[in-house]
Amino acid sequence: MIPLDYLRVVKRGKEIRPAYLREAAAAEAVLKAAQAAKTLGEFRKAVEAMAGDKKLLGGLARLVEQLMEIEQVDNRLVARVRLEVFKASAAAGYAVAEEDREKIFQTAAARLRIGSEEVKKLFQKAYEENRAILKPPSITPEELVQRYNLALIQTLLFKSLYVKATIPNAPAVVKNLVRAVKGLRLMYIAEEKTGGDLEFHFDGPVSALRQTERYGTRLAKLIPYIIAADRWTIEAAVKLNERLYTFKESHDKAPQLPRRPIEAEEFDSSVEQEFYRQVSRLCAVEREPEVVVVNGRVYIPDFKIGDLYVEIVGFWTPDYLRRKYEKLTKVGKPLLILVNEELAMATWKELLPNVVLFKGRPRLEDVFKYIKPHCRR
Amino acid sequence: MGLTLTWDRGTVLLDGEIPPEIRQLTFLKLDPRVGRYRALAIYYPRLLAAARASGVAVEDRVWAPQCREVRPAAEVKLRSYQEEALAAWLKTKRGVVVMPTGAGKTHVAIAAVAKLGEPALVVVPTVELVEQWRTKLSQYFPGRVGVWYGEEKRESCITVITYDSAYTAIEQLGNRFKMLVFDEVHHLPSPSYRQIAELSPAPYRLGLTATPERADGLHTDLDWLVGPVVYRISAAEIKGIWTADYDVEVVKVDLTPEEKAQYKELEKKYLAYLRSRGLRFRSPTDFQKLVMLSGRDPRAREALEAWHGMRRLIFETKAKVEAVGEILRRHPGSKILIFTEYTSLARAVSERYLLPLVTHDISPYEREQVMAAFRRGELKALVTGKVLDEGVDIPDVDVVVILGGTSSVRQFIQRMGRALRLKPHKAKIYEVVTAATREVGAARRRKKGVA
Repeated sequence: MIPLDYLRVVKRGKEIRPAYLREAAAAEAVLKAAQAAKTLGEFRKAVEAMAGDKKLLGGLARLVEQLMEIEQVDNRLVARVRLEVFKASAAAGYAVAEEDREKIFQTAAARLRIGSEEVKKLFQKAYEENRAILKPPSITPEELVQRYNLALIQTLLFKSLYVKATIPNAPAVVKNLVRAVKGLRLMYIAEEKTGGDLEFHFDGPVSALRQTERYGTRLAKLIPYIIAADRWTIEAAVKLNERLYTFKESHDKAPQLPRRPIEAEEFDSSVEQEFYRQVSRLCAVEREPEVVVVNGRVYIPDFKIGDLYVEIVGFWTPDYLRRKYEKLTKVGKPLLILVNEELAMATWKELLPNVVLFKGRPRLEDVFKYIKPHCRR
Repeated sequence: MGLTLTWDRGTVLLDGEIPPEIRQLTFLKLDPRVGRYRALAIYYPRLLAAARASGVAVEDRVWAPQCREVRPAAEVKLRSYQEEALAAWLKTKRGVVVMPTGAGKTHVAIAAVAKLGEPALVVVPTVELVEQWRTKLSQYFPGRVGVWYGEEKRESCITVITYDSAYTAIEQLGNRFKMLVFDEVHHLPSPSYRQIAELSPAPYRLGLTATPERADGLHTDLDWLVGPVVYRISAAEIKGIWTADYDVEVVKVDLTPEEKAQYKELEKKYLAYLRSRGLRFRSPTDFQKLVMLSGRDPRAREALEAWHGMRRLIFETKAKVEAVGEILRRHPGSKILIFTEYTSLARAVSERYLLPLVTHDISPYEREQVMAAFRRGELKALVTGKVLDEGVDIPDVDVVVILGGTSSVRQFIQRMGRALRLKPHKAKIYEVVTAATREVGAARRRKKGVA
C-alpha cells in the first residue's frame, strides 16, 4: 500500500477509479534507479530528478522501498555515538567555526575508543537516507506495475465507508477472507446470490450508526483476499474531499493484479485427520466442500459425504460452542454432528438431531449407520 | 430476564428486554447485521441512567476493567489553585481544566486519578509526552503505569497512549478504563481524534489545555466529548509561574541574492493567480479555498506550489543557519532551545553546529536519550521542529530561538512558555525572520495575542 498523497484517480460524475498504470516504462526506470543507488538517499534523489508524474513516481518508489533489503542499523550504538559528539560539541562551544568540527569528532572518537572516520559514518546513520541498499528488489517492471495497480486500489479504499464483494462459492478463499475480517476486527454479512455466487458486505461496528471512514485502511487489507478468487467484483463507497463516490471493479475489467497463492489447508485437528483417513476408505469424502450461508454468516462444514454434511466439534471455548450451535441449528440441510463428549452441552444432544458423542476420537462403528445411506464410492 | 448491555469494539449492544422508552432514544439504532440495538460507547452513561430510571433489571457486561482499583503510593500535594481546579472537576467528574504552561496540569490529573481510584487511559500528543507522563505517574503509582504507542504496547492500570495510537486501539482498550485524561485536549475535536472520546464508555473524563480554542471552531464539541470548561486560570493570576521578565529580539536576515530572485519569481506567479481569480485571503479558511481549487484547476495547483516554495525559501534560507551561529556565540553556557518550521532546516542547523536534533526522522531511543541529557544539563542546546511545541517540560531554558513558525498565537505562546518558567534571570527570545517577505507579517500576527 502507498500513502494517500500518491493516490491517482479518474473521476467521472459519481464514479471513481484508480488511474491505473498500463505500461512498464516508469516502473522500469524506478527499478533501474534502485539498482544503481548505493543508499536510500541516492535512490530518492534519483527518483525525484526524473521527469514525469510526481505522484506516479513517488508511489512506485514507495513500493520499491518496501521490497528492497536495507542495511539494519543499531539505533543504540548510533545514539551513543551521536550523544558523545553532541557533548563534545557543547564542551567546545559548538562547531561555530568550520575547523572546530574535526576536533569535535576526534574528541568523541577518543572517548568512544573508535576511529574518528567510523564516528563520522555512524553519526550519519541516524538518517534513513544514509542507509545502504543491500539488495534491490528482484522483481520485473511488469510485476511492479501489477503491485502498483493493486496498491492504488487499496489506497483509494483508505477512504471507503464500506466494501462489497462478489466471489464464487470457493471454501478455501472464503475461509481465508473471513479469517482476515475477524483478524482486522471488521464485520461482514454474506448472501447467496442466484447462480451460487456469494456476496459480502464489509464494514465495522460503528458503520451501523453513522457513515465512517474509520475502517478504510482495514477494508483495504481485505482486497488481496478477495482477488484471490477466480472471479470477483468489488464495489465501494469512497469519500474524498467531502464528496461521495462509487468505485466498482471486477476481475475482467481490472488490469492484471498480483495474486497470492491459496495455501492448501492443513486439517484443523488430528481428530479430523483421523476421521477423514478412516471414512475415505469406505466412501467418497469431500473436505470443506462448500460454503453454507446461515443468517448472513458463513459456515464451512468439515466434510461432505454424498449430500450429508459432517461437522466435528472439537475442543473450544463455551462461547465458541454456543455460537457454533446457533449456526448449526439453522443450516437446514442433512447434517451429522460429532461432538466431543467432555464438552457437549446438554442442549446439543437434546435439541439437534443426528448428534453422536465421542470420547477422544470418533469411532467408525458408532458413526457408520448415519453415513451409510449417503455413502458412495 | 432484563436488559443486557455488552461491549462491541467501541459500541454498546443491547440484548433482552428493551423498554419502549429506551427504544425511543435517538442515539440507539437497530443494527440489522446482528439483529440488535447498538449505540456509540460515549452514550453508555446516558443509556445506563435511562435503563435504571425505567425500572428494568440491567445486566451490565460492558466493563472488563484493567484493574480493580488504583491507589497512590504517595500523597499528591497540590497548590491552592490546583486544589480549586480538582474540586471544580470533581463536582461532575467531567470537563476541561484550562491552565497556562508551567502551572502543573499534570498534577491536577494525577490527583484526580488518585481520588477516583479507577483505571485510567491518558491520551497525549507526542512520544516525548508519553515518556514524561510515564515518569510522573510512576512516582505516584509505581509499577502500575503502562504505555501504548509505536512498538511498545504494554497495558497497565494507568496506560499512557498517543492520540494516533488511541484512534485505533480504543476498540480494544475502551471498556478497560473508566477514566479518560486528554492532555492538550484542543487536539481532540478533530474528525479522527474525536472518535477516541466517542468510542469510549468512560463516564469520567478530564481534559487539560492552556488554550482550548481552535481556529476551526470545533472546540465547542468538547462539551459533549469531555465536558465543559470547569476551571480556568491565566498566567497573570498565578504568582510566580512565569517570569514576567523576558525580552523578544527580532533578528532580520536577508535571503541570498539567488534565493531572492527565486522568491520574487514565485511570488509573481502566486499573486497573478490570486488576482486573476479575484481571491483575497483574510483567514486560514480562505486559504482552504485555494487548496480546494487546486484539486480541479491546474493553475491553482501551480499557485499553491509557488506558495509552498515561497514558504520553504523563507523558512529554510541559509542565512537562518548562520544567524544561529551568532546566537550560540552570544550565549555560551546558556540552555538554548531552537524551533524551526521544517525538519530540513532543523537538520541543517544540527549538522552545521553538531547540535542534538529532536525530530521524527531520529529514532525514539535517541530522542529519549537526548531529552534526558538536556534535562540534566549535560547538553545545553537543542534544535527541533514541531514535536516539542507542546507540553514537554524542559527546565531552565534561558534562550528560545524561533527560526520559523506559523502565525498561530497558540504555537507562539507554547514555544515561549518553554522559556518562561520561573527562574532567577531574564529569559531571552529570538525570532529570526526573513526581511522583506511575508514572514514579517506572520511574526507580527502571532505576537498580537500575547502582550
